[in-house]
Amino acid sequence: MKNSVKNTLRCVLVLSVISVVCVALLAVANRFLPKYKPSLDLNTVTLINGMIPSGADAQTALDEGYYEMLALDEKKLADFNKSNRAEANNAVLAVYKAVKGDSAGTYIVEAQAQGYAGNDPIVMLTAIDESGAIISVVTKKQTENSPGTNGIFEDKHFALLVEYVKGKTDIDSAGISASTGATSGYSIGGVANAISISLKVIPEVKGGKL
Amino acid sequence: MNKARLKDAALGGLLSNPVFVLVLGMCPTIAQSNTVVNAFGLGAATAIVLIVSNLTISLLRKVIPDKVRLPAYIVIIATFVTLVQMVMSGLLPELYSSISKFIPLIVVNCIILGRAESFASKNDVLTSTIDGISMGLGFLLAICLLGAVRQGLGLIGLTLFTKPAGGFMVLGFLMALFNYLMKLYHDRHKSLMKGA
Amino acid sequence: MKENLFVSVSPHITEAKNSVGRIMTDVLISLCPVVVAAVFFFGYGVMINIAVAVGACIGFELLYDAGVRGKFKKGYFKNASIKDGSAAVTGVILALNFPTFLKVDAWDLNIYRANINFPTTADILFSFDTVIMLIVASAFAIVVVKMLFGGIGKNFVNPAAAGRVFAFMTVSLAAVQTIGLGLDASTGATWLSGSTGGVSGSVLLNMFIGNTGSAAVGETCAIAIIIGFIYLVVRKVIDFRLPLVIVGSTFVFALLLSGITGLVSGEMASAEDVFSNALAHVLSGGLLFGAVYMATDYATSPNTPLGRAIFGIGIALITVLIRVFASAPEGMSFAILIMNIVAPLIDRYIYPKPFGYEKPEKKKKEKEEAAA
Repeated sequence: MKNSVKNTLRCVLVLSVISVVCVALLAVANRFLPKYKPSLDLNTVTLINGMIPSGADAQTALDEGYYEMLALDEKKLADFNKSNRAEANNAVLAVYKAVKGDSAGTYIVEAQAQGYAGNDPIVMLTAIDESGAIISVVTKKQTENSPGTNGIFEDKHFALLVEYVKGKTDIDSAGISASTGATSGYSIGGVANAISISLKVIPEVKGGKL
Repeated sequence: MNKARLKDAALGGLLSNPVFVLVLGMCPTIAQSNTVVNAFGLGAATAIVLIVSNLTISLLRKVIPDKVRLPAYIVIIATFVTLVQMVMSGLLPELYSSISKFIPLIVVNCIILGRAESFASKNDVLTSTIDGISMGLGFLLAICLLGAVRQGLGLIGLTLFTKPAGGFMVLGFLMALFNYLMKLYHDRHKSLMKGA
Repeated sequence: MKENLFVSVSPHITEAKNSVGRIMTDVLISLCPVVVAAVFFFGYGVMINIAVAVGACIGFELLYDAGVRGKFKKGYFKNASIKDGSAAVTGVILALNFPTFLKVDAWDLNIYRANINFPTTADILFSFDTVIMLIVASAFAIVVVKMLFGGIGKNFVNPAAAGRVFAFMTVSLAAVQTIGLGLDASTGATWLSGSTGGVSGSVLLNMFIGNTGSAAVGETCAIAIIIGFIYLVVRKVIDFRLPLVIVGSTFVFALLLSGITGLVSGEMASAEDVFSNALAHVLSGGLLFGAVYMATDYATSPNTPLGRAIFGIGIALITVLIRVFASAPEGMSFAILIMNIVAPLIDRYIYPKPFGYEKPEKKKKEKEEAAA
């Protein structure tokens, strides 16, 4: 009797120690590995330039500072994200503004939202004009593999999405499904959430609260 | 440090290749060998996890009680897989995005769990590590070869082989070829030893 | 004791005058009407296809034998396995399952009539693509399906069906010649790739004669296939019940599945429509050809009559399901392959009656009579 109690205790102890050590190892690794930070690199500038023509090509736009990233207060941005997100993981990552070129004055918001569970979040860039209506959207990063050829990120459906969002001031996933004919439910929800939170941040930015 | 055992462990990856002879870990082998880059990424991730987990489990083999050995192994292997996943998503994002679905599956990859159970828990650290390296390299080479054949055939225009159905066919043929060559080698070895 | 037990593989020859060679010769003779009809409706390309396929099949079998048995020995040709003619039969059936011309997406090696900007398969003078695909299909059919598994009688699926399916799945095809040689109705597309409604009498008549488009040249002329079937039955080469079961079951299933879905969805208006639709299913898409020549292959069909009946019903069911619900014209080849793989399972559960078997009630009666 004593032996088996001792055995069980030993098993539990060993497992707990191993688990604690592993968790500590992972926590340390998490602190030291590079995280995704939004920045105005050539890739982002090319995507923005594709959405809102600035009259110059991407390399020139990058070199001559056609776009700039607005410096937002980190804590206030985190609070905004917490109170305005539709799901956990939805967040505005950065806000850019076009300061030179043909589309000066346009805001571009980089926002992420969760699509299908288990994937990394979808990151979208939404271009919003000064009156708060959407000009266009483009995908910056997504690892969805929406079923078959009916996913929202397939070319033909995404083109319909870009048409649909023009000029809108609020977006929901039912509208996207109806107008694009895509059937990837959670991916559409993610896209809708990312665009919605992008729309919501613009009045805050313009009002100087961030 | 039994020299003979070391030599056996070192050649294990070739003579008992996990893909062609032991037929373990087929799921990532078929699924991710449609291009050479994917194959190399997944093979390298699996190999790294295999080496480190063999090392750790061999170090801890006297400490872990027999009853809880499987949960303990899984926790250790899962930690290393998560580490590999974190490093890959941070430093190699494009490669990561194309194989991201299969990295968590490495935890239950039969090669790693099988070698941990049958080799690392019974042998000393050096032998286990060498076995891990050899098995890992064997797996990596096998999956890259499969990926090269499949991608090559796909480039010629035979698109069936980039899909899983063709992957199984190619795997079957490569397995037959490999076992045939091994048989030739063994026969020659035997006749040489007899003659000497 | 061991020497008295002799395990043989199909075809199981029970009479001394039979041999595999004779059976295969009979099959070749029965294929002649089909070949003639195919050439009549689809042109000289069919002859080239048949020549290439037969040559490739015989060539691959010879090569495999040479490779496996080592060098070319003196008595090699005497003992060559091609002498039983099964490779030739596979070649002819394979060629009859292919269209006249096809064009592969990735490499387009056909020779077209000069000065055409966007040539279609109608402008082909000589089709290298078809030749290459025939060789690939023959290689798969002979080397992989037949020889690697042990030679004649040990193939696990029908070699011709497997070769065709493999060839069509391996590459993505840009175009496949489905149009016959301009005899009115034969210039249309195949019936299976479009219509779901009732079928008019003239279309049915055209299907029966063979004056229709098709993606496989051998399967159009029902008359030729029926002549071949009668010849094979008279020469006792095939069991006549299996093709009849397949055709009958297809008709019934097409009535039920295609007819009922058609009535429900409103595309068919009357019983006549349903009936003619079911008839069209039977007459098109390689059903007759497959039922007579491919499903009856000895090695891949069950041994007992009841087993064969189940086999035939299974083929019919899968074919109709694929055609109606997946709208894919190629249901027959896949159905044959699937049921081939299931055939050993059927054999396992359906035992033939042992020799001298008497039913238990009969034995009881005899005992009572003997006692009384």
